[in-house]
This record gives sequence, structure tokens and C-alpha cells, in this order.
Amino acid sequence: MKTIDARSGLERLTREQCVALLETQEVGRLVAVDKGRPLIFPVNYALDGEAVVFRTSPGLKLWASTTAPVAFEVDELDRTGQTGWSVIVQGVAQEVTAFDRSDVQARVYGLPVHPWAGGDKSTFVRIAPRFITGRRICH
Amino acid sequence: MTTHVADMGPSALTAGQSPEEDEVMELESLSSEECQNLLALGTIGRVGISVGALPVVLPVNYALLDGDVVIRTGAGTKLDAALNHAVVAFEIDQVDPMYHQGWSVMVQGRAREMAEPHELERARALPLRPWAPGSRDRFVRISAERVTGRRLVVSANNGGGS
Repeated sequence: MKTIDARSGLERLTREQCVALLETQEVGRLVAVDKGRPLIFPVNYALDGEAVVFRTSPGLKLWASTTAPVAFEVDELDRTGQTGWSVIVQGVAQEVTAFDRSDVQARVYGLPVHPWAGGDKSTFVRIAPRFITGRRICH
Repeated sequence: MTTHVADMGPSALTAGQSPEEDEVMELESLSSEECQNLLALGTIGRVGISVGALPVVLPVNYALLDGDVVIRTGAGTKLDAALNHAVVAFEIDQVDPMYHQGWSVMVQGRAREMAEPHELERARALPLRPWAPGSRDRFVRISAERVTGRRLVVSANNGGGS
């Protein structure tokens, strides 16, 4: 059954549908907030269950994303057909370190996350999802 | 909720950068001309907004007006941010996951709803067709106070899970 949002006219996706869509992509956009200013970075990611994992190196992205809640978005938009969907994960991101449970480390370090170039991206960051929401444009 | 965003002076976007900022520029920076050219060619971007405790990010159609980003919207998060004159981020990119290359351009600036009749007339003339059904006849202008771009390049050692 489709749920149509009365205000936006968009179909609201269930959490299960959202996670299934997250599994289909490998690039998303991370929004972190630095001193009240949002920043957007495209990142490669993989899923640890419902948690989003990406790799980075020490810097603004890591600092901003682990000091305040983040949003992460994945979409597939068809410009010509004017259709598409968008899934947003909101939650708290944390660096996965040797202090984490060994099973979490094993799972996360084993994920096929291929980071972009530019230095040693040895830091794994895991976004524990608080909200997973999605919308689909339907006509 | 605007928190301390509303207290920032006009130069807040260029002054007082975090010391960490330099470290993230590990990827090749794009010149402002390259950024403008890429922005002029695109039609789809993502807006990042910090509202209350959790940020959001939404895909949008956009067009440029005097170098600023204009999006069309109805009631909701994007408009609320504009009504609060919040600093938002707008990003366009083209990323090829297969070949690990691409680019990304980010615009940061204050958002506001366009209200003056003359300005609205210009906004309505822009090639902005919202995809989704429903009433979307309000225009939000994001002033391009800070525009940065990066090119993503192939890494020699980008194997995962090592």
C-alpha cells in the first residue's frame, strides 16, 4: 500500500524499502554541520546492517561529522522521466576504533568501502541511524 | 530553530575557518571559474539544511540567478530555512563509482524567500520545473557567499577492507 504525503504529494517509503534502496547504491552525500554551517560531501559507502559506513582521513569531514548529528542521503533521479527516489539517514556518526566491540570492528573493517583518493583514508566512520526516511516521486 | 547561525556576521562564512579546514583539501581544488561553469550546466543538486537537532539533505532542481542558486518549493523544510535566513549548503556533483572519479561543487550561504515582485518575476522566468506534484510556487534564493569545488581522482591504493 502506498502512503502519499499530503503536503508534498510524494510517496513515503517504509524503513524496509529505504534500506533496500540504500543497498542498491554506493555513493551518497553526507551533510555535517560545522559551527552551524552545513557542509555536503559526496562519499562512497557500504552498509553494516542499517548503519552507513564510509572512510575518511582526519580533517574537517571527520571532525564535523563526529561532533554533531549528521544526515546522509542517497537518491536516484531520472531527469528525463522526472521520476526518482531519495532516502535520508539521520543519526550520530562515530569513528570505529580499537575501543569498539571486536565483532563491530570485524564487520566494519571488512566492508567493501572504497574511498576517494587523497591521503590515507584509514578512518572508518559509522552512522548509527536514528531516522531512515524516504520519498518517491510518483505521478 | 536557528541557534547561533543567526548571530553570524556577514563575513562569518569566510572568517574564522576551522583549523581543520585545510586538511580536507587533499583533493584537487577547482578554480572559481570551473565551479561557476559546472554550476551553470547543472539542473539537479542537493540542499543541506541544519534545522534543530538533526540536519537534512534534499535533492532539488535549481537554476542560477546572478550567480546565486534558486530553488522552487512549497511549504516545508527548505522554505522554513529560508524564512529563518539560515546558512545552508547546496551541492552538485558527478561521481562515477566505477572509475572512482568525478567532481563536487558546494555553495554555502544564507537562504531567503524571494518576495519582491520584480525578483519573483525573474525567478518565474527561470527554467525551474519541480518534478513532484503539489503546489510549489515559492522561490528560495541561496546567496553564493562561498563556492568551493573539488575534483576526485583515482587513488593508487584504494582497495577496501585492507
